[in-house]
Amino acid sequence: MSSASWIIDSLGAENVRSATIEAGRIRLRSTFGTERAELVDDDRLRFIAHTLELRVFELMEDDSSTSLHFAAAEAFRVGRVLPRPTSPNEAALFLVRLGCLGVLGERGADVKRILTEEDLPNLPVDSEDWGIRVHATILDIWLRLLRKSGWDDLDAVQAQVARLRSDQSDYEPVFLGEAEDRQDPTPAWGLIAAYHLAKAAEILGMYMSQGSVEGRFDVREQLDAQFDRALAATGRGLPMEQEAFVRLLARTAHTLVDNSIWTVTRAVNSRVTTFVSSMVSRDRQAPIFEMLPPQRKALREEGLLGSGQRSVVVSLPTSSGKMLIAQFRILQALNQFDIERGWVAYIAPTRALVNQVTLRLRRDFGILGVVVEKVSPALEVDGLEAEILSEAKEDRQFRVLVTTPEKLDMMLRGDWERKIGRPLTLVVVDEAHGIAANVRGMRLELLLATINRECQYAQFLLLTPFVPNAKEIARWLAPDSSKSIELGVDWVPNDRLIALATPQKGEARGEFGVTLTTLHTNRDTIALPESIPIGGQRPLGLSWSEVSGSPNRLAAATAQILQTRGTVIVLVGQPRYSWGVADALKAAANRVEGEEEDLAHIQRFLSDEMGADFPLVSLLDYGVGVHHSGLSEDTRAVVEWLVERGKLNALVATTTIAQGVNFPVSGVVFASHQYPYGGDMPPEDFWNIAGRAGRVDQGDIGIIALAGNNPTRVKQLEEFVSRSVSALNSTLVNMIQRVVAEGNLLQLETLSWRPEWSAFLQYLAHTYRQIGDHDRFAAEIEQVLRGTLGFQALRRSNRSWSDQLVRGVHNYAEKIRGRPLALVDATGFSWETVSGTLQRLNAARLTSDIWSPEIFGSRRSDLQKLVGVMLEVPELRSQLRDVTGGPNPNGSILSHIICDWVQGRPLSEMAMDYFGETQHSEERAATAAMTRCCQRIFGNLTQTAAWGLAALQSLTIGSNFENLSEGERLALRNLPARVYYGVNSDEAVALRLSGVPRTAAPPLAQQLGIGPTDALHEVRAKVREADEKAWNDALGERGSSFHKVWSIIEGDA
Amino acid sequence: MVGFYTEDETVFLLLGEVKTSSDSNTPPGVMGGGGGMTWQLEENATRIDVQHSLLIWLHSRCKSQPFRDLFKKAVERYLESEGKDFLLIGILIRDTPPSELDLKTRGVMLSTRLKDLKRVQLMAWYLPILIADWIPLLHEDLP
Repeated sequence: MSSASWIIDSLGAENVRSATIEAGRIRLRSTFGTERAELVDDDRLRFIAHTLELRVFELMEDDSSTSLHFAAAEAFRVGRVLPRPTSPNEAALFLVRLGCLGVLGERGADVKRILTEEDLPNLPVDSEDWGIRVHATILDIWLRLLRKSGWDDLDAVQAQVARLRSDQSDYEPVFLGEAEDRQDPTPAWGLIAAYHLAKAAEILGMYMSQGSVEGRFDVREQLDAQFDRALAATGRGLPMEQEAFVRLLARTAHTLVDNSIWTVTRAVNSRVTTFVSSMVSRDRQAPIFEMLPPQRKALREEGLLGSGQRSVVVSLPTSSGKMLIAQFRILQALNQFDIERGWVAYIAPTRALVNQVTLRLRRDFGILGVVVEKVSPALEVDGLEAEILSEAKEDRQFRVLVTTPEKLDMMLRGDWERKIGRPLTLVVVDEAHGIAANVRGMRLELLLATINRECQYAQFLLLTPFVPNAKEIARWLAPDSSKSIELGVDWVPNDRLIALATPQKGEARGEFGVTLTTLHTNRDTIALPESIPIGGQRPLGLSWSEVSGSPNRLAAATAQILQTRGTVIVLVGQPRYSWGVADALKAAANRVEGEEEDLAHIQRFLSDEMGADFPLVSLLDYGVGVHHSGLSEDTRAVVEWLVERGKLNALVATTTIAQGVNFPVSGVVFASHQYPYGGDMPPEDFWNIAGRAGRVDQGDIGIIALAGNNPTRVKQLEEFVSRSVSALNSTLVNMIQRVVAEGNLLQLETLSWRPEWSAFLQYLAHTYRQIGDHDRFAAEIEQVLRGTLGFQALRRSNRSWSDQLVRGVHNYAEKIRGRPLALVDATGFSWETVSGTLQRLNAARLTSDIWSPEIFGSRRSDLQKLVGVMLEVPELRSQLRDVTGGPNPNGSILSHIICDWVQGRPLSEMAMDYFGETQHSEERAATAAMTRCCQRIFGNLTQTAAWGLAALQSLTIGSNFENLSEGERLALRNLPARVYYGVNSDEAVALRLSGVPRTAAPPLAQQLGIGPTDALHEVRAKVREADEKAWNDALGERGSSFHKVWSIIEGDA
Repeated sequence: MVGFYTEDETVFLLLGEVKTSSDSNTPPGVMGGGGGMTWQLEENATRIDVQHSLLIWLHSRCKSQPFRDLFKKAVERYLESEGKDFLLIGILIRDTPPSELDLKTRGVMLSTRLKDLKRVQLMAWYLPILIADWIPLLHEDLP
């Protein structure tokens, strides 16, 4: 504890605790408009708040900034709920002091929010009395500096100071003359102090906006000079509180300088400086003048910007602005390898995140001329992607590539680093805690191990939510050059509340109300001893029996109450549950008034894409959206856009989806805390989602409610929330544990049918191939294995298993000796699968001549044969089986589905033909069928079938591929892409890559005169130039709506 | 007036007001009314923000010994008593003949209004030199 602990000891820790609880109580009661049960009266609260402020003064000159942050945050937490003084001057003084405490306590975002939500006091800045006018102006400008609501506030600071200067000669003589008559020198000293505070504000405002003050960078010294003089003046008979005020401002001004984006990024390189200029630019909708504390800590205090560390793990809470940290690291890496024109891979786990990240990087890096490209999660590199990757013109060469880990893996194993001809210099791994996720985690870990082994210049930046063993992860990739940057859980963007939402039975029949009971967590969350009733009786008209019997309905009722504060996400366990919850929220009272043009376009698009009766279309009229795997990808993209724009009040999503996208919301209601495939979500995922509620730019308190509709569930939820985040571990250890029990560790080839082991065996085969010499590989096995996180852990925890594994790999090396292992890298299959598949292709007489676009039409029987082979591939079959469902996969139906999909058949028709079930009513049957259809097509089919076809191409065409003409190669590569994008021409594939919705792509390609060999940048240019009329000419009256949706998907809306 | 008052080993925070008056009335005008001593003592005694401003002001002047220890002890006492245990003192300085009435009425009034406080003292000093002469006297140029 700090050196100021004597103050808390004297006050009594219990008093502080009760004041903190009372502060939480006041805020919650005001949030929900309920009456406050006053347990600590205002006078007592005020006394405690002042004492906490005294502690801040005690610590202000201390070196330990951590103690100061903590003390100031505590003082701010209590101070913020005190009643505001009634006089404008006193209220302003109160707010400035509160704001200072907030800034010192690293709660700047809260300060900004408070000063934005509470109108600034109506200060007498035009008073005829010069003394009053000057002091009012000082308060006003410091409030604006604390608020920094865009350029308006910073401009106002400069304007107000300029106005003081210009008015001084008119007003000051009279004012001082009167004081002289009274022989009172105090007003003169008061003015001197105020003028210096005005000058300090001017300096600070200037620095925040442009990073220098009149060409000089010694802002701290310039500020100190002003504050010292102000302080000296206050000692000349001014009221005592003036001195304290000046000292508080002086310390706060230093913190504001420390937090300034200019300070944090000073003297890194010119690219960074240009980037920062664009961040604070007047053209930006929300200019960024200062960094969040975790960003400042990571970039400057932990030295990430100047770091030469090759492997860095940034483990920060959700919503700490990790993206901006990554952006600076990317710029630094680009600069490091500028001559080589090095590139950066940004890997994100979901397509939605890939899109989000690409849009943001393109927007932010555009001004720097840094080209950002994304490649689709489809595992093969299609013809158009190949063109992007091998672009020779420097101004069009990508420098940042955003994709999924699986795609990057296939690219690198396909020798794309060499084909790109420029070095990979940095890999940014977003949501890197995915390493612990079974099959995908194994692949990600091995990808990083491969890059680390083979890419000479590669550096790593792993972004994770809080994990306890970040250091270990960082050391894994570069033991001698690593760093972990952790802020643990001490910083949160705003206060959060984790609560159980339970129904309370009312007196009348069916009556109930919702009560929130806060849960104590191992994080800093608001907790009250008592429960709080929220909302009125029977929200959404639901009844007691309905909500007590269903967590989904209770979640809907809770969301209905919470959505008055801002967008709420309701998380359900499975896509099919989403419709019931969404339907409950479709209450007359929620109907959004007025016509919204954008919304009308989106609804028009959705009617076309998902069918006119698809419930989402009408739900949007009630501000309700749905987001899960049972929607088409373009549909999900527009829903994400609606949420980002604050156009939805409630979003019903699945637990899995909520992880992958950054939704800005004020609350999250968990109808389920389990994943669709069963099992509780791990605590790290829960906190990751919880962190999204009430983010920096969101409402006051982030509310996370878990629907506990009955006592058993309440108990489960209480236990669930109390779990601690565990260390981030490789899945390899678990894999080995399972296999040891079965005794197979010495015969790894027998494990290839398991996807996670297939990934491991492919890693071995790839490394074997790269080493190119059996004996050398055998000698280096341990070294190769040590490249993985899992093996390192295994050696520490169980030497006998790690020795067994080494022997198993020895044996496996003998098995793959002399085999054409390039096919393993080309297909993404294990050698065992490759070998078996080659035999099956031969047996079915499937050769290289099979490949032509007709397989999706007149030669569907050939496609069916190919599908038959794919269904035998362990790496593909479970996904493909799921498409048709049931234990017996049906190659005929699958090939029909693929053909219909490629030929552009509407989803609504496919849904009824292939995915309908009869047990529902007609309306519900259509929705259920469409949900299943989208889950199967987008979740299982497109990626797997495209991957399978590309792999079979590699196995049938083999090395002959290189002998084909460029045009032939491109056409061949685009065949799997047709399956991925659901279109049947190369031109349409190009448009799909440019963000054009599926049904619009073929007619628009024709309208715009796109040719099959047009370069992608030409296609993009044509799409960009096409106006609404061109879209209407191509698509009829729905063209405008599709044009709008395209602009949303491309991030132009 | 801000400072400390020690009594044996015990240190109290001292907050107070000093008023001077040549007023021939008893009590003199400075004892009552808005801005008068009684009002100011009440302000000091009841306004937490005023007390805390004084504390912070005092804090910055008590960084070295012996004041640091005095400050700590006095503030500990003040905080432990939740702002009740400090010495509130009013000093009236007069150049008139002594009169019990100068303090009595106000003292009785304060004793009921500030009954929560542990220590409130009013005292009057009667000096044999006219107030008007104090400044020249201080400058040692009395004729």
